[in-house]
Amino acid sequence: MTRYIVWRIAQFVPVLLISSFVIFMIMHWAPGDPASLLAGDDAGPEEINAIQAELGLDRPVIVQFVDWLAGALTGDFGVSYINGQQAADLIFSRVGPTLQLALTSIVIAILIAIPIGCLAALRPNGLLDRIITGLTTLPIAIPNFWLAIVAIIVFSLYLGILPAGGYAPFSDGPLEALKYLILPAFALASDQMAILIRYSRTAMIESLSEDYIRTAVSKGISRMRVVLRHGLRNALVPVVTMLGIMLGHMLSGAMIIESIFAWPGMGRLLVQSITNRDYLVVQGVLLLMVAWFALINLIVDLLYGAIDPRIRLGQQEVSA
Amino acid sequence: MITINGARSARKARDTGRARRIPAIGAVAAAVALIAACSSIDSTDNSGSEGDGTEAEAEADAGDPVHGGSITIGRPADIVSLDGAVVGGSQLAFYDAIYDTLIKLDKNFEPQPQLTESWGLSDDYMSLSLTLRDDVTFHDGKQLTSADVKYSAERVVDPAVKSPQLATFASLISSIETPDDTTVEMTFSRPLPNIFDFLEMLYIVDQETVEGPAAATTANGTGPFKLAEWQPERSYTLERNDDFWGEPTYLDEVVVQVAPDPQSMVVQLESGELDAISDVPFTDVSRLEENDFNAEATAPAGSWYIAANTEDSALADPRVRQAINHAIDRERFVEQVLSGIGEATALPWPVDSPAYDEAIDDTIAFDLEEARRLLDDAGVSELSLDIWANGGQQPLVDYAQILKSDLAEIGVELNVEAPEIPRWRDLQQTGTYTGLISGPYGASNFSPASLFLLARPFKPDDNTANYTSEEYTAAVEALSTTADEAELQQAYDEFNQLFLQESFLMPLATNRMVMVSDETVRGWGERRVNGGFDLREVWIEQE
Repeated sequence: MTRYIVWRIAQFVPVLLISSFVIFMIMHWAPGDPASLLAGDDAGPEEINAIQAELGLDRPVIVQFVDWLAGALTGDFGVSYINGQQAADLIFSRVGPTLQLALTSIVIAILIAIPIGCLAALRPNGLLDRIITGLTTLPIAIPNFWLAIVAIIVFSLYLGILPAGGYAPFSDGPLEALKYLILPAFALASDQMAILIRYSRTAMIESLSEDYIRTAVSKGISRMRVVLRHGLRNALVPVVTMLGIMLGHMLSGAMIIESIFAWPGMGRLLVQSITNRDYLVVQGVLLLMVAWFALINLIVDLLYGAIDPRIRLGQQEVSA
Repeated sequence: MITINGARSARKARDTGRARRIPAIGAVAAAVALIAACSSIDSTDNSGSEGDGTEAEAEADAGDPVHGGSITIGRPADIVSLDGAVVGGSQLAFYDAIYDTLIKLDKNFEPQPQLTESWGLSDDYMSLSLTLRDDVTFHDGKQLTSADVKYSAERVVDPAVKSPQLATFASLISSIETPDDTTVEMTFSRPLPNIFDFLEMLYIVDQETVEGPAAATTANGTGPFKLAEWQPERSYTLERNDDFWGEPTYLDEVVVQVAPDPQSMVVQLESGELDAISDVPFTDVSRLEENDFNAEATAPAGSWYIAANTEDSALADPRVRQAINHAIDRERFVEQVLSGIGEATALPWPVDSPAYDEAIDDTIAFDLEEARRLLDDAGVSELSLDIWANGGQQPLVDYAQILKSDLAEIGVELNVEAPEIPRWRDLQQTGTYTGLISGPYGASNFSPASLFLLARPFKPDDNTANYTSEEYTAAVEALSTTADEAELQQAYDEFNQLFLQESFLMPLATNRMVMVSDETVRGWGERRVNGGFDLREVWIEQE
C-alpha cells in the first residue's frame, strides 16, 4: 500500500513539470504584460521597456522559465510582479479560506444530496422521485453566480441575517466563521448538489436492483439495513468518483463565487493575477490546483479500496 | 461640494474642482450647498433632482465634526504598491492618507502650504526655492529634512521606480540643492510655470524604507494615517497618526476592503457591511441616492476619449477624423451611459479649466449630415473601421455600440472589439491597434501645460494616435512656456482650434469618479490630483 502511494505521488512530478511549462508559456503568450499594467495608461513604449528590463521580462521566455524552475525547485516561487510580495506567501495565505469554502460545500452537498438521492431511489418513478428529479433541474440550470446574488439580496439585504460578503477564519470562533461561510458555501454547492442527487439516485437504483439485494431481502433483513448496508455501500463507489470530480470543480467554481462574496481564496487570487498578468502568482496557483486534482484522484482511488474490499488497487497496480 | 444630482446633466456647468457635495435630493438643496462650499458656479442644471430643501438644511444643521470612529470602504481593486511614487488610478485616497506632498493646490490651482511652509518661484520660471516645515516626522519617528525631498524628487526619474508620469516632469528639473535641512532649491532645464503640479503629485518618501528589505510590505510616510495592516487583494487598515504635524484626522481608523464584484459591493453597502464604496457603477448611482445614500462625484480628473490611429490609411485624412468626431453623440453618452455624471465636451479640458472655450467646443456638434459631407469631401464612400474599447470600462463598451449605430447611418461600418485590460493596454501603449481605440485619460485637472507631460494620448512626440505635426508641437510648446496672460489665452485658443481640426483624439465627456456612502459618513474632501477622494476630513455623525 505504501509503495503504491509513493508510486502514485512520484507520478505527480512529470505532471507538475509539464503543466508548469504549459502554464508558463500560455501566460507569456497572452497579450499584455505586467510592465504595461504597472506603467499605467499614460506610459509609452520606452517606459514599458524600462520596466520590463527591471522585472527581467525582456529575457527570452524559456530563460525566464528555467530561472523560475530553478527557484521553484529550491522552494522559491518568485515574487509578485505587481505588489512585490513573495508569490508563495500570497498563495498559501489563500489556501485556508479556499479549503474552508470547498470542503464546507462538499459536506453540505453530501449531507443533503445522498439522503435525498437514496430517498428518490426507493421508488423509482414514484411521485417523490419525480418531484426530486424535477426540482434538481433547477439548480443545474440556474448559474450559481446568479443564485449567489439572489441569495445576497434575500438573506443580507431583505432579511439582514447573513453578511453579504467577507470572511472570518475559524480562529475567530466557529459561529462567526459560519456566518460568512453559509451563503458562499450553499451557492457553490447548489449545482453540484443537484448533480450529486441525480448521481446517487441512479447509483442507488442500480445497486438496489442487484441480485444480492433480493437475496438480502429474502433472508428477512430489515429494509433499512438492506438499503443502507447493502444498497448504499455499493452505490457509493461511483458516487465517490463523482465527489472527487466535484471537489475539483469546486475550485474552479470558487473563482466566481469568491469574487462575488469577496472571499479571500485562491480562486479570486487567480482571477486577479490573470487580469494583472502577474505570471508567477498565476503559475503558483495553477500548479497548486494541478497538485490538488492529482491528490484528490489519489484519495478517491484509495477510498475505493476502503469502501469496496473487492477492489484491491495497491497490489494490482504494483504487481502489474 | 457636489453630489451627483448637481453634477448630473450640468453640461458645461462651471465646476470649481473641490468635491462638491449635495444631499441626495433637492434642487434648492443642491444650489445652497454649492454656493456654501464653492465660490464660482454660474450654472447648475439640476433637472435630475427633485424635492424640497429640508435635507440641505438638515445637512447644514448636522453639527460640527466629531472625533472618533472607524469606517469601512469598499473598492473594486487593491493598491498596487505601497511606494508613494507608484501612484495610479483611484487609489489616491490611500497614498494621500499615508503620504504628504510639498504643497496642495486649491480649487483655483493656487498652491497652499503642506510640507512646504513658503516658496519662491523665479520670474523666469527657471528656479524654485522651498522652505520646509521643521516639525514633520515620518511614521517611524525620523525627522523629515530637505534630503528626503531631494531623494523623493530625483528617484522618480529612474524607470525602476515605475512612475513614468512623474518621471517626465522630474526630468525637466536639472538640479536640486539642499543648503540646509529645511531649504530645497530647484533649477529647471526649461521654464516650468506648472511646477506646482509636480509638487502636488510628488509624495515624500523615506529612502531607508523604500530601498529597505521590507519595502514591499511597509509604508513610511508623514501623512495623517499610518498603515496598520495590508493583506494584499483583501484589505488594508489605516490608523490615525497621533504624531501628525497638521490637524489630526477625525477618524481613528479606516478599513478598505477589496470587493472585486461591483454588484456585490453595492449590496454590501446597502446591507450596512460597508460604510462607503468607491468607483461605483454609474448605473447604480440614482437608485442608491433614492435609498438615502450620499453619492458624490469627484471633480473630473480627465475625460473619456476615442483616438484614431493616424497611421491607418483610412484615418490619415483629417476630414475623415472630423467626420467621426461629428458622429459622436456626446450628450447621449453622458445621459444614457454615464447616467448624467460628467460633462459632454470635445476639448481635452474640464469645463472649469482656463484653457476651456465653450464657443470652440460647440464647433464640433453631433451632426451626421456634416459628417457625411466631410466623408464625401474626402472622397470616402465605403469605410469599415475597428474600435478597441477598453474592456475594463463598461461605459466605453456600451458607447461603442451607440457609435456603431450612428456611424452606420453615414455608411461607416464599425466593428466593436472590447479586449480585456492587459490586451487593451498593450494596444494603446504601443499604438498597434487598427482604426479607433477608446479609453480614459487623466491629468487634465492641472495647469493645461501639465496634460502634455502627464497624459500619453496628448504627448506631441509619442502619443496614442501616432499623430505628429509641427503645428501641434508648436501649439503645445506655446501654451507650455508662455507666462503672459493674454498670450497664454491666445495659445489656448490656437491649440483648441487645431485640436478639433486635426481630430486625432476625440474626448467624449469628462470622467468623474463616484463615491457613495452611508448618510452618517460626512466630510468627503478631495484632492485635485487625479480626482481622488481625501480621507483627512471625513467624520462620522453620532447617532
